[in-house]
Amino acid sequence: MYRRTIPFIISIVIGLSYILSGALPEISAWKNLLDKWFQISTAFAVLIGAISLSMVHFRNLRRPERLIYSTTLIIALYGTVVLGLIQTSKGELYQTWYNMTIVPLEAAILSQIAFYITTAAFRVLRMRSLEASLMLIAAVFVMFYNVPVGAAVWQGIPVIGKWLMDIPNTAAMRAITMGAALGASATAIRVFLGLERSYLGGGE
Amino acid sequence: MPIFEGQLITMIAQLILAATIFALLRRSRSGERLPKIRRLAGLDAIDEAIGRATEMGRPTIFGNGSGGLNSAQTIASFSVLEYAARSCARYDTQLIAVSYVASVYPVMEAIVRTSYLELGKGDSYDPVNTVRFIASGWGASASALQGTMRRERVAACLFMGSYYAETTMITEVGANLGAIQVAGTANTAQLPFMISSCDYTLIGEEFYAAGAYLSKDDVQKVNLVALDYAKAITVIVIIIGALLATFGDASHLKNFLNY
Repeated sequence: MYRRTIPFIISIVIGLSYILSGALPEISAWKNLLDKWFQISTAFAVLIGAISLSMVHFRNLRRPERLIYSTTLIIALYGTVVLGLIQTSKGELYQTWYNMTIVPLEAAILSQIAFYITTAAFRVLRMRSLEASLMLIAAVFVMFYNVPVGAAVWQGIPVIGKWLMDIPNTAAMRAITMGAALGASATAIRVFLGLERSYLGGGE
Repeated sequence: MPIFEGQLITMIAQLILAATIFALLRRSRSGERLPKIRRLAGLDAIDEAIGRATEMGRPTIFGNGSGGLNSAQTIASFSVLEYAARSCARYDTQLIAVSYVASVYPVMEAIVRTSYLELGKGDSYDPVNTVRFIASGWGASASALQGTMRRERVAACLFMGSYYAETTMITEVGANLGAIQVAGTANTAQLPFMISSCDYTLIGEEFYAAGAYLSKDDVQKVNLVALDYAKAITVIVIIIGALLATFGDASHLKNFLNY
């Protein structure tokens, strides 16, 4: 009962309150209140996440091949916490620490995408079947449509590229979006009817 | 009672969908046969992927993206996680379930632990390494996931949930490792990357329906039948709208739907 029934009742009451507050002006303020509750309860979960991360990496300290990486992570994790507690997130050293590590590292990671997209595109655009050949032809038109040299090569390229993007691409994307919206609605209804209970921790 | 503009028809549509599910549920319980449901190749591939990981003696990795507990995609991913955890427990295959979102991590941990315990495989469940919180923020989580996949040499990758810019970075690593990859998302911008790098991709509503498909329970399947009815009605409304817009005036239909 404590593990499934009470959490299920709480989720139904909160879920219905949220839906009704989006539709009825009289109780629209509930939405902001529920959002705040969600943020507060999520903040507690960060502690659980940090404990999990620490457990994995403290265990790795016993493995020589992972020692250096896990030590770096532990120092970074707890160093940031200590610095944040001393200086708050507005502190000069905290800001420098963040801007000199996270920002350039994320930029470096983001730059990998260009290379990965190239390998993915190479795999997809090999002419192994009729579908792949059509995809390659469409991709060439769309790529040339997006660069100025396309129109210089042939005036028809921008016209065909625009048509491909505006008509078949938009139609397919809208169909997927509508299907996904119906799927999301059906998932919500399954949760409300108690047919979907895996979010309560699984089990028969 | 006043209601926000544009919400009434949406609410009525939701109530009709719920009523349809109830009606089909009653039909199912009274023993009437439900329409046959076509299997999705992507979901059958989950068994294939875990089976291959078992044969190779290498782990299966599961990730559900950066959606929080307020994302329908995350809720839908839990059913797939439960199915994967049960399959891995049954075949004694190592499962690594990774979470980017701190609030999602405890739910994933509970699902996997319960699945192992219910199959009597509690000893195979490692409380530290089976379900891991890797990092929040897509950059850190993508690099952590890439590293985990390479270090553990995963043989099967299941990526189900709300993915963003990190999609290509993680699925290309999986492709490079030669892992069988099954992915699913409703984020249309990431679908091309999943389709290009993964062996099977669950597109949009297929992903939401995964839980019901994977369940052997008829009660879950009524939801899919109701969803198909809703799709049929949507298609009819689109056709009517297209005909009205082409040959007449679609503003009345538009106003009605926005009521």
